[in-house]
Amino acid sequence: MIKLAIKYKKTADLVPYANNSRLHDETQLGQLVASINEFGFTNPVLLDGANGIIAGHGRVMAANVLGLETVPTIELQHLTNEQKAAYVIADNKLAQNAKWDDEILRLELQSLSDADYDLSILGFDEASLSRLLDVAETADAFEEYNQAIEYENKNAGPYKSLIVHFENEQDVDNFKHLIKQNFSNSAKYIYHPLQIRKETESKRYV
Amino acid sequence: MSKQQFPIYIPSKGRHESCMTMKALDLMGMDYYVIVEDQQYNDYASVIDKRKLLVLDMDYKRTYETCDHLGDEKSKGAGPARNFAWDHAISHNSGWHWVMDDNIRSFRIFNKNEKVKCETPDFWRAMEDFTLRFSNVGMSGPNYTFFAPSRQKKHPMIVNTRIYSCNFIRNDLKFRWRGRYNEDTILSLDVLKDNWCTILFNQFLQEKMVTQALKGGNTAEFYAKEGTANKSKMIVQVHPDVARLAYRYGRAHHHVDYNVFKKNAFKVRTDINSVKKPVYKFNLIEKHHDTDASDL
Repeated sequence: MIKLAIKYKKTADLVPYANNSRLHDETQLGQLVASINEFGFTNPVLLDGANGIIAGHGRVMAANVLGLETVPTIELQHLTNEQKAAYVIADNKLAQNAKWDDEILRLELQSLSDADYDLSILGFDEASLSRLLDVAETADAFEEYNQAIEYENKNAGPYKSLIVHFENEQDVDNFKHLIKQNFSNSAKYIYHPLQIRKETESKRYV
Repeated sequence: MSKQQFPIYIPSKGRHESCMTMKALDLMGMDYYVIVEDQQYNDYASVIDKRKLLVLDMDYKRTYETCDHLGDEKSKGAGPARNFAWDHAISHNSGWHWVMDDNIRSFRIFNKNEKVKCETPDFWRAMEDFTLRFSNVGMSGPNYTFFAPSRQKKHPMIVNTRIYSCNFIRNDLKFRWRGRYNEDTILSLDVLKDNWCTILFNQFLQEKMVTQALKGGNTAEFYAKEGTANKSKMIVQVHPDVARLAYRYGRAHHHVDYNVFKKNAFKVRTDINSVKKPVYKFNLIEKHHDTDASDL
């Protein structure tokens, strides 16, 4: 196992990897700046032996924003070119693959919040924080609805439905005569006694 | 009660002659924005107050994630304009926004087994207030009228399902509209998979024109040319874990299993007093002279 040494280097001398596929938008850059301000530059930049950055592009951008003249670095010159290119991706992707234990995370965030710690520097957006910190009991959304808005509908379907088969057109006509209704050939169902569809076009909620 | 608290956006294309949703909202006394493409601005400006018109920044169209490899060959649908609306709402410091299709004939309240047209802004306020009772609802909206049969005793809402055509969206969600087709389902699944809840109201309904019945919009752009097979395939491609493709009656259909999201539990906000029943202005009246949007 190679022993790694931390060496401080001039920020201006560090060269971003031309094919770095990881993007750092303004929001994330702001989070990195806030984090370095709070905790210091605690995670060394990984270099390829010629001041080329393998991992830590975002942190170097944040260091430039903060005007840090030097940053801690670790040289990984023993890696092959392919290994370096792969590590640029793996360093980001492997961390991304980890999952949170939401319950423990919520307790930790709650504890920090109770101590008036500024949670905004942790890297979570507001929506996630508000969801994680919400300690309310799970709600019955339908019970909530009953409290909020008046709503009343009942089952107004048929008491009983049955399929009637006709062997010929005459039987259809006889049936129409029997129940005193005239339904079209395309009718899929009828009501007996005849029901008129409720007219709502003349009504309005205002 | 007052008007809705959050802005309403209606992306529209080639439908300045009908302006269906806009007329329905006018009857309710609502404010709204219509998002149009620059080349159609004059058409829309001839029928809509210019202060309501927003011209789509075409960068949204250029950079839109279509979820396929067809690039600019085919229409990208309403997604780019919907993303434009989302960012417009954020830039105006709004926490939520409404975005809806331009072919909604009326908005109705379903109560006492009747689906009656609504002309009061409280229609929107009631949905907003109820949605905001919870800290973890990401999206809500009214159901289609034809999914709420008058004779059935329906629950006032369906939870954790797809929200379509008229969406009330929390602005700080990390997602955006994507997909050339089926973007409503794709966004709904993005939101649900991230453990947010959704509410599809049955009490509040949208009377939507059948998608391919009104000229303009997506009708001319692609459904009329290629049917709906690609639409069904896309949702399966983007969310294969919950969507599957089936062929019935010679057509491709997609089926999405929303049951897996039943576990997304609702959480009541602790920072508001939501117990008291709000008073909404829903007065049912007989109106003899009918001159509203359904007469078009």
